[in-house]
Amino acid sequence: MKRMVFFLFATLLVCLAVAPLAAQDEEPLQLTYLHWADPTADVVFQELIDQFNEANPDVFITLEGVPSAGYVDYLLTSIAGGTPPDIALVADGDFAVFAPRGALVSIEEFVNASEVIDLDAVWPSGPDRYRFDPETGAFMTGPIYELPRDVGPTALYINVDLFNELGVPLPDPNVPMTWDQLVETGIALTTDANGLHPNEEGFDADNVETFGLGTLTVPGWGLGPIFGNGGHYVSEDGRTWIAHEDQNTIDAIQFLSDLNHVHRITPPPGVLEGINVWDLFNTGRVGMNWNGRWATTGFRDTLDFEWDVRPFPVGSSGEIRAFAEGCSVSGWSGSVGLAIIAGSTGAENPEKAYRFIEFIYGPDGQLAQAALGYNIPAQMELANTDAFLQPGQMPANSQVFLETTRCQLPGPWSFVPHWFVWQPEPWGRMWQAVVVENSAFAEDALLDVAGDLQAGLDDAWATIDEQRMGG
Amino acid sequence: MIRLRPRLSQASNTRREALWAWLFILPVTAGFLLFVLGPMLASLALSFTKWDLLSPAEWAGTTNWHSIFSVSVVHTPQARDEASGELLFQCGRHRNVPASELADWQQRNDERSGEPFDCRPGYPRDREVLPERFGVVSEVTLFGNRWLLGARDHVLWIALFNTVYMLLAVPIGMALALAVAIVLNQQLRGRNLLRAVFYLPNVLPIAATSVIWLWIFNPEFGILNHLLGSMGLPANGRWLSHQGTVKPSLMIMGIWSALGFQMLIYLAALQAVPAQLYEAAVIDGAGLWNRFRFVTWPSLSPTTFFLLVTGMIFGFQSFAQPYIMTRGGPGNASRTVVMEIWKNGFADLEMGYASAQAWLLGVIILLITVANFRLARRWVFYEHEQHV
Amino acid sequence: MSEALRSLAPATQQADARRQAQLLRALSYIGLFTLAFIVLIPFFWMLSTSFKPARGIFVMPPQWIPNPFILDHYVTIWQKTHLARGLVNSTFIALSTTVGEIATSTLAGFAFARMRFPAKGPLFGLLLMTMMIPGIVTLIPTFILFGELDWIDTFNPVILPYLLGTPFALFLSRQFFSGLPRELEDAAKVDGASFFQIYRHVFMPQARPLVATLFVLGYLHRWNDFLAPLIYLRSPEIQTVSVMLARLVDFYVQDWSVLMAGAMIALLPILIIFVVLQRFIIESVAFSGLKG
Repeated sequence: MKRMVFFLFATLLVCLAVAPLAAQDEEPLQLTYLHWADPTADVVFQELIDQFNEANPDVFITLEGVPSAGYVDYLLTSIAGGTPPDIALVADGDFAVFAPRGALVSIEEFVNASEVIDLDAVWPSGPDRYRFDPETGAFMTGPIYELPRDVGPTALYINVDLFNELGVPLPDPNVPMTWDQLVETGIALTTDANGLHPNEEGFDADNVETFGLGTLTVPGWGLGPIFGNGGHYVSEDGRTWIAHEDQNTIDAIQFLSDLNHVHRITPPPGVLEGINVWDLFNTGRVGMNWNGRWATTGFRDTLDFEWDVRPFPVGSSGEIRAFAEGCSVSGWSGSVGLAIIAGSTGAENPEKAYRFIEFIYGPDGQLAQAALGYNIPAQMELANTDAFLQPGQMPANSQVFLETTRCQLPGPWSFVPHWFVWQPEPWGRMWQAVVVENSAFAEDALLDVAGDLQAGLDDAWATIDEQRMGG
Repeated sequence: MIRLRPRLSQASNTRREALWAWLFILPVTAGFLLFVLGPMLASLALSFTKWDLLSPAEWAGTTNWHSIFSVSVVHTPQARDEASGELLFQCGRHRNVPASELADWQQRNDERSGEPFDCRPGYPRDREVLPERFGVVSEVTLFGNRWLLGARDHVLWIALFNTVYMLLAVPIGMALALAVAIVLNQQLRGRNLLRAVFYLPNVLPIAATSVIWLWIFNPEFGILNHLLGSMGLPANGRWLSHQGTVKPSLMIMGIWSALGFQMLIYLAALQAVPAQLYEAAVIDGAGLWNRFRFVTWPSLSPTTFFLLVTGMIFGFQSFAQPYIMTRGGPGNASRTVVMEIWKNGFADLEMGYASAQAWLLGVIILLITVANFRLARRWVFYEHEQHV
Repeated sequence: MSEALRSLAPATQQADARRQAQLLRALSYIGLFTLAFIVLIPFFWMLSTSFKPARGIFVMPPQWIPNPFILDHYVTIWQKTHLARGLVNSTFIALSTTVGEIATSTLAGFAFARMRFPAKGPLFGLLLMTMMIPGIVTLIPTFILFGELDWIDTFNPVILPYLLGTPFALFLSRQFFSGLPRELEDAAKVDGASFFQIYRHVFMPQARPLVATLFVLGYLHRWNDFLAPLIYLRSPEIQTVSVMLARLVDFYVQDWSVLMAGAMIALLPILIIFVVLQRFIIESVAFSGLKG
């Protein structure tokens, strides 16, 4: 009986989906928007969608929410099975996989013609990471395929209570620390059971009460210090692995190793590898910790001490890498964007599907999302208002995120295909030897894995180029 | 006539039995034909293609299979200085220490860590001796010689080794489950409650239990090191973040979560052991051990066989737990084959290659299962001893 | 029987044996309770986490008894998800598939264990083989198949394949039936019973532990199944509990306390089923018609 009801329900849905083709003028076009989010965000988005549907009688958007755990499986299976969603969330790390294969529809002409979207009024590092030029095969340039739902900058979270308890002065919220200052502050924050610091005689490294620095020693987080020292992984066109030839990168990796093995201000590296649950920072045992803006909402609920944010430190080379002109801070930021999926009803009616993307990216959509607090609104002006800065709530220095959003670079995964497939394994071997075991110099270990990394890079580009030439 | 009749009825009986049997297995077979066979054959066919899921598959011949089986063993002697011909050593992080300076180095301390240098024979970089694009699966170093097992897809072979290694958890868990089941099959106070307790881990969703075990194994403030420390044992285990302990740690968690399932099946099987067999054994003066050895164990052998075979089949396909817990790390130490297949299929969009890997795994499982069935003839005792 | 035996044995030997048995009993009690305690630690922690404020998770040393003790996470789940709907859907799927699976798998298992027919070995091997290819590579071909059948967003893909039996249940049934004594069907055959009657009236009554076990395991499997419901059941109205709960742990929002509360709710129905059915697993011995 129940099954029959659902059968009927499903049939009804199919009819609803087919109907607009027959009677396009009267019936609104049915489109699905697929995202991953927790149910709280669902409510916010459903409200937005209701607004949109009201204002656009010729389009009707239905929200489809799936767990982040199975999102990619779901999306790929739907596409391969011939039932793609019309509009879907595609993260910057997946863009370089989807766009070159023709799985996304370019929205360049709509963005250019738009009266709502002014690309000069948004953080440029946001939309630029969704550009791909099929002619040359280059990323970060050419037609745009997605507009970001948000940008997620990264920063140094600090435990203000611990600073005060140990009498350590708080770092300047507007000027990044140097590596020397970072080490100095880290030493002052690291104490053993007897209250001794690592630079003192008799310091007991096996019984450390508080550590100066936290997650910095996890492989993925090497990116911030490398950018902060002006270092590169790959060449500008993303086709050559150059980390082993770049002294700034070598120095940054060695610095990360030294933080533990020389300065002894971090937990033993590797200890925190894996998912960042049960993080030492959460228990108040770590003074400073790298994390993204997205950690903020959780921290507000779970941390029972006062905390704040500071910009990424800058390296000893004196060079930093940044997205914009005149930046003093560095690091990387993440992002997720909305795209029209090829082969869907939305792809046949791109103007209508685009209108929804624009709505989410535009002022109304961004304002609603700012209240969720995960990430930075894409509109620069909006980000600088109380809607995002949310005075009265931690972190006190929310404005740190504004400058970092302007300046931080997308991860290399935004302009190098299949980064998470070929990079982590060889990189992890290097990391294990240098940072975890201290059994090799950064220079040697980077050289050891350079060939594997270049081979992976070549394979990844080969699949992209093949697609481009073939299609 | 009189002699033919029974024969005829024998033949028709056999045919009747076969017809009934076919009827009985019809639903299961139909399900197999309708829902499983097609997709299985499709994935076999895909293993000869290049398919990125987003555009149509292209025929690739045996390329995928060729990549999988590109394996080689390379022998390398200790490195020598090109000019002087001296043997080279590695001291701590320093490469290329000539033999003449070795004694000097061994007396020095590392300038950074302050610890004495540990010097060992040096070898050329792996990439200089392996075929192009090969990685190291495993290495053996003996008397100044090194043998490298290299492969084009070295991670797959490492993952296969890890997967087989972690299969050890199956018999260990089964032994534990059998012991628990036998005790819980007695007239014990609180028996029903205890059964539920042991079954509990099997019921909890992996997403939740993984988070808990991450906490248990956390080196800094997890409860495992906490407990070890309070018992005066070394409490500095790095568990999931150390290459040597990550597999045993995951096995402990695996045994914990499978215990209830194995116990349940053993409990059900214990019920089918005819009571009169025990009574006969008691009459014969058999002690506890002998009763177990000659009654319980043989009677349970079909169940033990079942648990072993399914445990190995599922063990070979282990994915969710290690993926959530360690993502295959540290290094490749806990990477499993299915994790690799998932990565290739759904992250790298090489579904053709992933299908080849999956079929390689399928064939390995098949061979091991067939071997299990063959070996079973020696130790599995069927009451109904017609055919295995 | 054993009473009579004991009275024959010399008194000292008897006392020795009794002392030995008592010691063994005490030891097994101690061992069992220790093991049970170890097994329960992770569960205690989950339970405790589900009743404490989020910040209580990160207190050192670990706080086993929640202070303050709160029910907020359970309320949150109730508000954030359509849990009642999910529970109904999951129950419907798990119940229907498990009942069907038991019927079809025991029937086939009986045939494979106790009957003779051509191609039996290869057929059994083939059915078993379906367990050996990792599901993730057949996922997309299967999805395409169900898409062709127009089954996406209906219960069909998560019900029909299981209804027709699973290799796991088939294998377990075959092993169980193989272990039963031969006299069982011999008597029935002499009486001229048909094969279905033998299955239905002779073997199935013996198979209570098997049926109860299959029920518990099958129900659990479908209850915790994640990928298939995720991919096939698209409308929120037909979503299952496991998928609803997975959404609570998002990339941005990692509310562990709520996850634990969800896990506690989801485990209740299965635990109840287990507690009820385990009596069948054990009591069946009383019904055993094998005596003498």
